[in-house]
Amino acid sequence: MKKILEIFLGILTAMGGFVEIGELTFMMNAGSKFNYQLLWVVLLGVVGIMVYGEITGRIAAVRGQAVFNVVRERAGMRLGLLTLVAATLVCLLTCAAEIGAIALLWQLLSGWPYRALLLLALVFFLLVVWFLPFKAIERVFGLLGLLMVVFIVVAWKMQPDWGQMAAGLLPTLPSGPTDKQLLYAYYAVALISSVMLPYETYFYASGVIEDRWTPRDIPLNRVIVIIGFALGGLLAAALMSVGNQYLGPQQVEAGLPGTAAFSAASQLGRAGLWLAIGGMFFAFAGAAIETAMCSAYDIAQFFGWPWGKFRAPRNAPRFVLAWAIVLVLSTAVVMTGVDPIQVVEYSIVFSVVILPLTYFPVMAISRDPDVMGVHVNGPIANTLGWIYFVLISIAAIAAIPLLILTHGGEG
Amino acid sequence: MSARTPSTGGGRPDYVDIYRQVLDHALLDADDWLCGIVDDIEVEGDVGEPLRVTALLVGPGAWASRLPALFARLVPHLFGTRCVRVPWSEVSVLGEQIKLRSRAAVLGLATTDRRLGLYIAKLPGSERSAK
Amino acid sequence: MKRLAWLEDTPVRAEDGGRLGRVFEIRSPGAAETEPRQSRRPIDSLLCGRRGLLERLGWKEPDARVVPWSAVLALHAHEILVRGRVDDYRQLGGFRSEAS
Repeated sequence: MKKILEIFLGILTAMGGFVEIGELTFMMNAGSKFNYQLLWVVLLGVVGIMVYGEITGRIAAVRGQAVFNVVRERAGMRLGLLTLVAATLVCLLTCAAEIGAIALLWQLLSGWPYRALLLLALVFFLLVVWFLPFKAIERVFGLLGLLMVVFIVVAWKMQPDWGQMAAGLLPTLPSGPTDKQLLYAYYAVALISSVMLPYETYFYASGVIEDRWTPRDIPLNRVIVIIGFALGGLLAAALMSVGNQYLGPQQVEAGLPGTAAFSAASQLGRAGLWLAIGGMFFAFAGAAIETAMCSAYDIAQFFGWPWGKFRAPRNAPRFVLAWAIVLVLSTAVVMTGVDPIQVVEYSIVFSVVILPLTYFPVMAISRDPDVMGVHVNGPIANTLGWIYFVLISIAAIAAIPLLILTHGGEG
Repeated sequence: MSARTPSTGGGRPDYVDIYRQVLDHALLDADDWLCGIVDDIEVEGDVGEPLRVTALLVGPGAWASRLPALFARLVPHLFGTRCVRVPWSEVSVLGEQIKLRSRAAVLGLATTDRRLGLYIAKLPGSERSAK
Repeated sequence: MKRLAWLEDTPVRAEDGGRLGRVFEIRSPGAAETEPRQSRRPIDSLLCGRRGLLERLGWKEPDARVVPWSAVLALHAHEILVRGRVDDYRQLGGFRSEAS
């Protein structure tokens, strides 16, 4: 019975924690610019994150230790340190974007000055991560992030063209000028990146250690990853639909999270507005915490420092300093006045560039019978893992050229 | 956390691959506390003489030289030059994590964490853990 | 010769000029420790081989040539010189499964 509860909560947490500001922005914009023609990318990305989530969770459960050690062991000191620096910078940018987005949401509600709200957010995060145990952080932000389900309801109520949606599940290139096609390609790369953000798998794997999983929990891991991320994908698809139905006709860019909230209000009134704002707050806050902690996990694991919320702060001081410094630096980034949505854009693009770096050691170790024993990759994990590795490598190479050619996604 | 070695079936190989099994692996002390990563390996002997591994080296002083020269110069300023020598005789179990015979404090490992831990301990809530 | 990490990826050349690839592993005889045993661990061979993209990714195990330490003539920062010819050195099909 306890196991069933564990699975149920795990699935809900995975779903509630799926969306963050980057995904929200790109999904809605993709929906408004390209209708449902990019839905297949969402499907592709969701399967991809399932594959890597399962693999990294399995590695952590079998080795009893975290995944960024793997990067150092397999990639060596040079490439490993490069990966660490790149992953930390990307996490920092993402964290900055989430904190900025939260301040924007609070500003919408309170009208207080943006910079003051940024500081308030920083203090909030420092206190939450310091005092709350890992499980509490996971559950609170994951489960309350489920308020985002309001967008599924909103999408349903907007009566989308189901036929068009179904057609969107097959890859098609839009007709039109090369500019439009390049923008389509850019969005495809950005959407894959926003669904397969590296911090998600690394945080998930560290969470497996925090929660003391063993190889016996591997089937549990699979169920949570598959169902939880599938439901998260549903949420992402709903955002694309809402973007199409609400932003398209209005010719508005989902620049502000407020716009997303208004789309909910348009269908469900005041209740919709509050649910959307609440859901977005917990989803973005969860992402801010995860990216900050993920940076700390990565750095501590790479250098062999004690880490984890399961250790008292005084026993893992450098880990604590790492996440605290990341939160402070992230806030500093948005304090400069740079638009958080712009920051998001760059963090998503640079995420996909480093994705192959972060996934290749994972693939190498999960295939290694000396390390994994009987839990080594089966044919499905191996095949899918390598197919996705090739796909994300292509996306990684294409990302920056596309960013430049589309003038930063402006088209 | 204890050193965990999954069963592979069949006999254990009669050799140890130093890069794959020792270098860059985590170190656990006698109390199973994480106390660093093997950053380099000390040897004695030379070309034409028998070569033997004598110690594990832990710390920025050990791994800095593994970076390209440009970055290796920055490391002392950012991370320090500490290099702790853990004699090979301390190695108790060679698994995914390398278990040592003595405690971290005795070996001179994880001193930065101990020092910083004393400062952090002054803050309220610093004792709380999941255990 | 004080440390081991720097040897990794150094090209290995035989006296006759032939190349044996790059050092990717250093092998020490004797099973892995399960209790404290020795104060020194001997090194008996270097494993060298081609380090292409697939090998580094872990897709393929590199074909290894076993170079006994006694065959090493000189260590330079950018090259290791070993005795004799390339063919003097035994090849291992899959270096994990075969002892040297």
